[in-house]
Amino acid sequence: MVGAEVKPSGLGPAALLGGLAVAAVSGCGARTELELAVRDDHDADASVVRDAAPLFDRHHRDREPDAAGDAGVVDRMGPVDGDSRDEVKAPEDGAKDATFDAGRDSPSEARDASIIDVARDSFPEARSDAAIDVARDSPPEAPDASDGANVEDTATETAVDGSFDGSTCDMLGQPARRFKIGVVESPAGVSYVLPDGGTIEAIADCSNRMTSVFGSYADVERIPLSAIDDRLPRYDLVVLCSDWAEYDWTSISPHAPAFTGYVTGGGGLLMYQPIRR
Amino acid sequence: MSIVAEHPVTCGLTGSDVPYAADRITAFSPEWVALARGDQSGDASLLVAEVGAGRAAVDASHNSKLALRPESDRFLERLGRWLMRSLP
Repeated sequence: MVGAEVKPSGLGPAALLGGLAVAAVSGCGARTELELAVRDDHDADASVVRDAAPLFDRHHRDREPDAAGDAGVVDRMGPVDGDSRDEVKAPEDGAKDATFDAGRDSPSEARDASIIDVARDSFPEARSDAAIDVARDSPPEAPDASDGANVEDTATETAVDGSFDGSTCDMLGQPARRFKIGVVESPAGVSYVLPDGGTIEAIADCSNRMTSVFGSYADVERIPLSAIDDRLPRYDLVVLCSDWAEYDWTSISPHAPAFTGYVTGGGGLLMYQPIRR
Repeated sequence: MSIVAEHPVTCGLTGSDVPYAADRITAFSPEWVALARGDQSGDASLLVAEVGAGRAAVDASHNSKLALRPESDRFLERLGRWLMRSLP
């Protein structure tokens, strides 16, 4: 099956005890691992530092050999999920074919990929006109964030205390202030084909999605790769869009300490598909 | 998709709202919490974690509404609000 070769994180016991969070993600015959360091004492052991410091690390140590078709632009066009990704890739994957075939023969959510429930995209929470109007008319408190204030400084303003008791399940009230969301400009230069034959830049598509969902109470802006180290703290939420790892891993992974520091300092990080084919 | 209903991000949602297991999250350390998994594979498609003072999420689906199985807006809003600490 796709990604059947599951391996442990590879972290040493010391790192695990230190609270590392690691995920292995598989798809299209490739896999990656990423991590967030939450330890404060990681520089006590050089080997642990190597494990703990990067937000994204040890990608594709067990990656299957690249096939010539991997780099095809056509493969990368269009948002791909489940079967669609496999279907595009499989014929050209050469050495990966066996993996894909096995995956398709095994139980897979991919078989349900074509089932689209349009109704699920209605948004009953905070999506009425009245709710949006309230958001627009409420005093914006965004300057706290847009002025570059550290998320850590403002997090307490919006933090909801207490553990989850189910009472917040069906309602998302308006936040006490406007949020600021940063979308890392990745993948750069990648476009998707629209149903009408037109194209849209992947980063624009991602940024537009964030604006459509959060725009009534959040400002969404792009974060140039060159500004990652400096800008992250000003955002309440930072988004790494799909395909960032495939196209810009080498550009983004060196900024792992900035991402880690941002999160441990109180920021929120949403990372889509951190996998490199 | 199977989901953890007792979490602010996923409560009140259905399997069709949450990230589809396009890329499967096959292994993760205990610090992560899997909120959505494929019904058949059992592999995770959404992880969340409290990391220091912040929060993080790994979403295995595509962010685009053009995807074959896009995650719903109401899911994305709940996830984002949780990450921004606007949900407990």
